[in-house]
Parts: sequence; C-alpha cells; structure tokens
Amino acid sequence: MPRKVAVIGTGQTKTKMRRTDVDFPGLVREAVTAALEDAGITMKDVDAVVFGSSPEYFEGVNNPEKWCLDASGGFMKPQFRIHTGGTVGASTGIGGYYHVASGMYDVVLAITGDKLSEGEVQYNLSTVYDPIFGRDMAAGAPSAVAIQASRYMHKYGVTEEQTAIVAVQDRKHAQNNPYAQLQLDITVEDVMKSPPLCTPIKLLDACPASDGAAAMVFASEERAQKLCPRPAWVRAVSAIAESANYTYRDWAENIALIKAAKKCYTECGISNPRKELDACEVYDAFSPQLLIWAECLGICERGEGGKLVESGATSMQGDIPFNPSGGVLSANTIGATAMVRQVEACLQVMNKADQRQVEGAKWALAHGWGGGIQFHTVMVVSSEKP
Amino acid sequence: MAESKFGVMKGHIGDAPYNWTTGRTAGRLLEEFRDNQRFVGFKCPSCGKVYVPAKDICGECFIELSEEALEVGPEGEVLSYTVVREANPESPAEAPYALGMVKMDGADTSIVALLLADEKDIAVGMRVKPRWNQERVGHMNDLEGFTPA
Repeated sequence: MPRKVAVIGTGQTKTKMRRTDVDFPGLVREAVTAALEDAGITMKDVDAVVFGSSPEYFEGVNNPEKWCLDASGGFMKPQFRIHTGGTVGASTGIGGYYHVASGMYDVVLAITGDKLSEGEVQYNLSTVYDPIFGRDMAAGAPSAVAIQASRYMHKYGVTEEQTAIVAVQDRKHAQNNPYAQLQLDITVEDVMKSPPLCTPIKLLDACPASDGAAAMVFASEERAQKLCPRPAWVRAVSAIAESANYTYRDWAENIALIKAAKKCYTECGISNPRKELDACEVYDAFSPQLLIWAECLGICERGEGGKLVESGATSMQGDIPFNPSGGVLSANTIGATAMVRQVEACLQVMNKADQRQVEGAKWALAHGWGGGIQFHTVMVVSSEKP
Repeated sequence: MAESKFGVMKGHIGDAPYNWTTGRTAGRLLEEFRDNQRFVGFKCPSCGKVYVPAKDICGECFIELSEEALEVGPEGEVLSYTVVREANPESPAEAPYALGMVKMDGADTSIVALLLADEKDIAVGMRVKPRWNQERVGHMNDLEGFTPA
C-alpha cells in the first residue's frame, strides 16, 4: 500500500516569451526558492530531488539535470531525472509522489521547466516524430493537433465558433493569474478572424511558447501535518500511454486519457466527476483539445464538448471551472506546463489561488498531455485527507 | 520584472548525420514504394488488425506482425486533414499545403501524407490514390502524396 502523501508547497516563475535576465538554471532556482518558501522549509529539509524537462533539443544542452543540479538544490542529494515529452511536468510531479508514497523519502522536491526562447521549438518538436514515416510530414505540433481537431470536429459536428470559446475563456481566466503570459481580452470574433495556422486552428487557438519553471514539495503524512495547515492531499495519480505511432488511433477520442481518468476516479470513489470535482486544469495547447479532454475525463458525454463550453459550465462562474489559471493557451513552457496544472489544482484545494480561486474548492483534477497525442496523466488532489 | 540584458551567446548543434534502421515491415513497405509503387500491410496474428504503415509489432497484442505482406489499396480514404498555412523550416512543402490522414483500402491504420488536391475539393471521406515520384529510393518521400481518386 502506498503511504499517504500531500503537497505542502508550490512555486512558479512568471511565464514570459523570453527571459534574458536569467539562464535556464536561474529559472529553475527561482521556482525552487518559491516552493521552499511556500512550504516554509529549506533545502536542508529536502531528502531527494526529482528533475524533469522536455527534449534536450529545446535548450540544446544534454543532461539538463546535470546543468541545473546546483540550481535545483540537488547537491549531494539523491537525484532522479524524468523525461516524458509534454507530460514531463506531470510525470515529474507523479515521480515526486512515488518517492514519498514508496516510503523511501519523507520530503521530496519535484522541479520542472524549459526555456523555449533559446531554441527553435517547432523545428525541435519535429524530431519527436518517427524518423521513417512521421518526420518528413511533421511541421511541429500544430499540424498534428490540427488533424486531431479536424477528425474530432468532423465526427461530432463541433464548430470553430465553439472551440473559439475556449480561446476566449482561457485568456479571460489568465487575467486573474499573475504567472500567466497571455492575459488577453478577446472575443470569439477575434479568434475567428485571427490568421489561420493549420485549419481549423487559428493563431488565437494556439498556445504561446514560454520561458518558465515550476516546483512542488511532496511530504509524507507525518511531515505534511507538521508543516502545513491545509495541504493538498494527492488522492490518485495515473500515467497511461497509447501506441507510439500516432496514426494508429482514432483521434476523436483518447483511450489513454479515458483509462487514466477512470483509474483515478475509482481510487478516489468519484462516480460523477462533474459533480464531485470543483475545478479541472487540463493541457489544452490548442483550443479544440479542451473539448476532447473534457469528454475523455467524463465531464460530459462524447461529442458534447462544444455544448459544454457554450453553456458556460467551464467558466469561473460555471459548475465545473476549467483552467482557472488560464490554461496552456495562456502560457506554455512545455517542460513545466503539465506540472503547472498540478500546482494550480493544489492551489485550488489549498485555498491559495487568490484571484483565480474557485470558491470552496475541495477536489481538483490536473491533466497532462504529451508525445504525439498519446501520453496522458491525471492527478486528483483534495483538501480532504484520505 | 525588468529584463537586465546579460550577454546572449549564439551557438548551434552541428548537422550531425544519423542512419536509422527501418525494421522489417517498414523496410518492406519502402521497397514496395520504390520497386512496385504500391502499399502493403502486415497483419496481427492475434487481433487481425492490418497495419499500414507497419512497425513490426502490434502494440496492443504485443506480438510480431505477419511474415507475409498483404497488398492494400490502391485507393484510400481521407480520415482527417489540415491545410497548413504557416510552414516552418522542416515542413514538407511551401505553405499553403494540405496534410491528410489516409487509410488505404484493406488497412486498419492510416498514414499522414501530402494531399495534392485543390483545397476546395478536400474533405473528410474523400477517396484518394497515391502519386509516386519518378525517382524512387526506398524512402517515405517516394510517395509524392495522394490525389483525388
């Protein structure tokens, strides 16, 4: 049986398009310092460090865990590096959880980040594709997600106006989040008129590329209760991968996410996620994805994602707010992005989300997406101790 | 957060060459592209799914795909597509260009390739056939793309 584990502190840097005042290790140090301060501890209290970042090609330095070792506080401590592409932020959080749940360590720091401004993001993303059949047709992430979105929207008759609601809603939510990069006041019409990138995805349907880092402190039951008056208890985690070959699947739904969500709900005893969850943070790098993820998470029926967002249910005033932080459409470092979902879910149940707080939130879900559509992670956190 | 301007050092990671082994089933498909201008698939002996393009195993059943290559096509169907209007240095064509997810007749999986058609004619469900390059070397790009059937 895993031990009970809670998140007792989190830290984020403000995400920006380009930070030239620090190098990548400097960004990492900012997030680590913020998380330690939030948890009210120092590096002396940390037993082990888990480090995650995206493909090394992004910063152009191999073994980033070595490059960032001093900045991550890992000097003379057990250190573990995790890398799972876009989900790496979430996998690193889950890795931090495993370190404590296993009974191996009592206080573990998990840290992720990327400094995308230093390399050619879309060029480097193309190297993720299969070298024999994928790469020659690759054009970074947007074209693959456009094919996903096009399949989904065709299958269920979802309109571009409906997906545009996500682009508007996320940027509106971002105005409440001091860490977000794009805090835009835009309309559905603005989205529809923005330049097309890859049909049906337009410029305002797409995430930015950001520099940023995030960190979380995981603690055992005993340490959490001593150190934190209202920790975020990790109630369930799941990381599931589908086939490596992205053309082998029906892109209108993601069986890996459906399975990951089901596993977490079963472990938490959640039978009606829409009613029982208070907030969701999902990895929507492009606006149509929020609809697909919401369906796979069981928040609405398959094909009903368009109607869900149209009803206002996923706004801050709705019954199931999605991305109170502004989501991935408002900031995307890739490396830290899926961890930021976990951080924001924790902030909600710790009642520390300030302007973006969902009133009375007790249960929140964080989702991560990566690879070529196929990796999915889910973490459910709660203010209620298991 | 003020940006203090420290130095920025320019650099690059050289043009390092790679030699990727295709594997059995992908190698056979590329041979068929080169020599016979046709598609072949490989069947999972457990679930019966026909993979095109195949990558040696069925991940779902965790089993080696058939020895025998099955001819599929010559036509296929567009399951999904996108018109790319903003290309990047690695893009397969000048923008705008269309990419389609195409399932060959007789196959259970699909391949992403260029759709060589007028944008207004492209639709999900469109019937297509391959167009081959004159010079073929056993590479994905031996397939120029798909045209309306």
